[in-house]
Amino acid sequence: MPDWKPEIRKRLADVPLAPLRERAIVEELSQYLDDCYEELLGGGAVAKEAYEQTLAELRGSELLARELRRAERRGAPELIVFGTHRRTIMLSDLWQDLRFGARMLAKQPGFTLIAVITLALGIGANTTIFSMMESVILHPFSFPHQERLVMIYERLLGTGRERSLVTPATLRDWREQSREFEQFATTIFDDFTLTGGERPEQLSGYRVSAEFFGTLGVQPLLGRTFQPGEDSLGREQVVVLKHSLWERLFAADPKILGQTIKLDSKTYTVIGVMPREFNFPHFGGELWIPWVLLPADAQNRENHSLRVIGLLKPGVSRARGEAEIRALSLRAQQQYPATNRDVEAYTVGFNEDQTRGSRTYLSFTLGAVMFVLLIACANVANLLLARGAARQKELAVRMALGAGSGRVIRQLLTESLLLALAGGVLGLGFSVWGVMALANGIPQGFAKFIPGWERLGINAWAFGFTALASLATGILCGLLPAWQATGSDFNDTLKDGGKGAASGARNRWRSALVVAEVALSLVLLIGAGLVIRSFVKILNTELGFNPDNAMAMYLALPQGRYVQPHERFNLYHELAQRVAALPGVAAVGLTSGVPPGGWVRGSFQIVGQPTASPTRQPASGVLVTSPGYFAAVGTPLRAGRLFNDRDGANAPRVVLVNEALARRYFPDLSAIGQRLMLDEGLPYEIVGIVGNTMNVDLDDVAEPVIYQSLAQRPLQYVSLVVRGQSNALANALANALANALTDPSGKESVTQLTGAIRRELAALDAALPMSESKTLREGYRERSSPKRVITVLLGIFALLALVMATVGLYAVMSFAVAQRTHELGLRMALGAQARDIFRFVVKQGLRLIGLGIGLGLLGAYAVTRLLSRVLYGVTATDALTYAVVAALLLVTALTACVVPAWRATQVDPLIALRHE
Amino acid sequence: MSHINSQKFDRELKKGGAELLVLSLLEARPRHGYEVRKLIETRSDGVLKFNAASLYPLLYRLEKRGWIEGKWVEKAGQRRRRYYKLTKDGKKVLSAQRSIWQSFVAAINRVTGLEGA
Repeated sequence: MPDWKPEIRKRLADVPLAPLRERAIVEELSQYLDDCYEELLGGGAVAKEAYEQTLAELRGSELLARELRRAERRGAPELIVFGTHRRTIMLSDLWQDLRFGARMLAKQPGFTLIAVITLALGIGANTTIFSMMESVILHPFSFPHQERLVMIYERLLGTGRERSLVTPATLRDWREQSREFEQFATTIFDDFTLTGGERPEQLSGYRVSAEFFGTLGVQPLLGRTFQPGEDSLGREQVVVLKHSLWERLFAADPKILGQTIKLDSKTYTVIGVMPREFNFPHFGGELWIPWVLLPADAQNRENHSLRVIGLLKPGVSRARGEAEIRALSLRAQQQYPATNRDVEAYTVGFNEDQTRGSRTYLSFTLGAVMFVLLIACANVANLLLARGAARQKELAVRMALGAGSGRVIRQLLTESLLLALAGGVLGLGFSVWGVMALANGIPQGFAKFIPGWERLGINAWAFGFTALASLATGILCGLLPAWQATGSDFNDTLKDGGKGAASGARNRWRSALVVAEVALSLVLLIGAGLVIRSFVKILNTELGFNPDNAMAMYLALPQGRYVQPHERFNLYHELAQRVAALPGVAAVGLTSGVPPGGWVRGSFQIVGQPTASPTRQPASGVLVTSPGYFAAVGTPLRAGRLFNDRDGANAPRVVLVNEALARRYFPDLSAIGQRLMLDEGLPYEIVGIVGNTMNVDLDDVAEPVIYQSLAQRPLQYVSLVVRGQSNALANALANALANALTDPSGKESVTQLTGAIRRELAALDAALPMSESKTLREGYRERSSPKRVITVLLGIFALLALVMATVGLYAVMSFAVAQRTHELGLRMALGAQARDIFRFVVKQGLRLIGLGIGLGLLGAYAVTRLLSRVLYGVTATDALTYAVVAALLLVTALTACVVPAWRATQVDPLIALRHE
Repeated sequence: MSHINSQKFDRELKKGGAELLVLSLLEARPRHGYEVRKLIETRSDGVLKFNAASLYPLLYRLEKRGWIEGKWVEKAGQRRRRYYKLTKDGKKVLSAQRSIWQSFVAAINRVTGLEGA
């Protein structure tokens, strides 16, 4: 028997076969040739004849070589892996997938770049918002047993006051009777005058119970915090400094411990300095001193003045704590009906309470940014589907060659994961920038009131989030294309070149994705449209005061000085007169609070109407002002008169009310001459009605407000509002005041004026502190900054969505046109005009857009209600916004169809028909 | 009737006819390569002929697709041989191809007027 093997090997020489595989093939073929040879011999052929005829079996062996080369290319590694562990195979597969995926992506840099940037924008936006959420909502504080902390408030039934503070006697009850709480801490915000330095300094701080730091579980940076018993008279003259105050006033002197400082003329010993990140409560205070419960106050059940933090015992749930507080509150209602009948205590989770301001804004920002990521995913899925179509043949061959569908899906998912990972890395870069931009979006003066804002940054959480988001994104945008690619019958694909039922299904998916993209972007655009309209409305709303060309400074009199009301009034009056005489000053007013808002809550009764129980009286804002205040802030008089110098301490008591109050309680504008009983139990006559002013949250211009005369109620503190002259002579100053934020030279003029005012005050009393000045415009900007940030964010997100949806639509239409070149050519050959073709393609696009817009409108209707809490002057279902935004999207999307449609009309029928 | 020359047949191969032949022959029981070749030749009365160079690429291709499965089988006193067996997928493909082929043949017959001839 001849040895066929050399002959066979010769013919397989240039086929790269694994040795084992080659041996098997050679053996098999040689057996075949043996059979053949034997049969020929058996049939009577001579050896030579039989040999030659048998060798003829190998004729055309280039076919064999070619087929083998094709067949063995991918299979080889799997065949030669002997006895290896399954896991190593999977690892080597993964490595192979990664390398192959990277190669495929590198081969199409255009596609890869677009996909990566799209995903980076989506992921980056999400990381940015997540970082903000992480800092201000999830982890605004890092107190060790945060989950055991609750805030406790009292609800004053019938007055609408939901978050009233707690009375001293109630706190004492809880301390004595509670079993579920380890301890209760309390804080009171207060102003202090620090003396002993160059000039007296106005400081904010907190009086806190001795348990305060222990309840939060925080440790000082230097020294110690309060010990039990230090909140009793005689031991209370100790102070803990905030890090910023320690740096600012004491140059971070490490030997500060044991030194004394003078607050409100009393001497306090510095016993500790808190770490830089400790900023609680969030009211801008810079020091903590013990709060002393005076025996006289211990029985007080009417003065709701204490902010109470409860620390639950370990293992006690919030629900149990809540139940106990409610039970104690019920007991007090029965025991002390006179004061507690309508008082109901309740708990709020610590984080939930501290972050409730940010929550409103962040919830829908997060929603919006997720929409952006979804749209990005849809877009990339679309790109992958289009590419999948182009690769259909490659995939079919691979499956024909024995790759299981699981293996192919894994390969495709690896590719989309690679894209998403690259997108994640780039996105992280975007978000570093984004977070910086965000941090700058809120002015310092306001940021200190937002818990956690100072921690804003990209941290480990953000990294983790980005990694997870990238992973999810990769799977989300890769799954559909992968499933699509393997779900079709590769046999069909190999036969008809990828135009079978599978491509039809794929087109349907692509269309569905585009419809989803259009719908999602519309929801986002409408949301953004509403917020932008509302913000523009706020900007255009009559504020009720004129923020330009005016500034304010704050003065609080030290405790124990100016004890007599007339002393205080004389001081204020003299100061106002001196400042009014300064060059460039047009008007000077004194007030208990500076607009926007600025008032405190109070209640009143209308004299002559049936008396309501103290907790059921109508509520209003209360502001105490001097006669000059209205001219200084620019609030107009509507009826009656303003205060004047005759409304002194001994004159008949008078008040002004704003239009909102007058309208609500005296419908026929008969308010003037009516009398109001205020909280202190004295009647005041309404002598004038002034315009409404914007409240502090910038969402209502019509809160009822009562103005009392400073002469009749000289407070211990006051803000000085100074308006610059706006005539030609004083223009420089006026500009300086108006542009203080942007213009450094203006800042200088303001500083000059501030200095002049300080000198006037020092001439009156050198021991009195006065705060830095702030223009009313600055204050307004700070207050409006959250709304501004949200508006800008939503605007950016909506724009991103619009661009992505447009690009997605463009891609789908272009692809559809390219795929149907043959059909279009046929139509043209059969006499269709360019115009018809154009219309045909645009109509197709229009169907997708129309469907998307329809769904988007429904979605927007359902979703934008969430926005109603932050909208001002626009309803969540504002028809104009819906219509304009839908039209905008329609036009943009149609533009995306025009180019492919035009391209379709350029199809040369001859070429198109030959295209096959 | 002269037999179709192998170059033309190679072309036919691509169109699936050859696949159909091989799959059909493996339907009843597993066979080795030479057996397949002989069966095609004898059952077609010598009209259809394969040689090793055209048969084996086909077998390997079908195997790669998972339609057939080759296995070395050792029988006592014989050299080991590679037997090919129809897989589950292969059975599905076979029945699909059969019906396509039948309708193709029927169509040709109708067109060429051979029907019922």
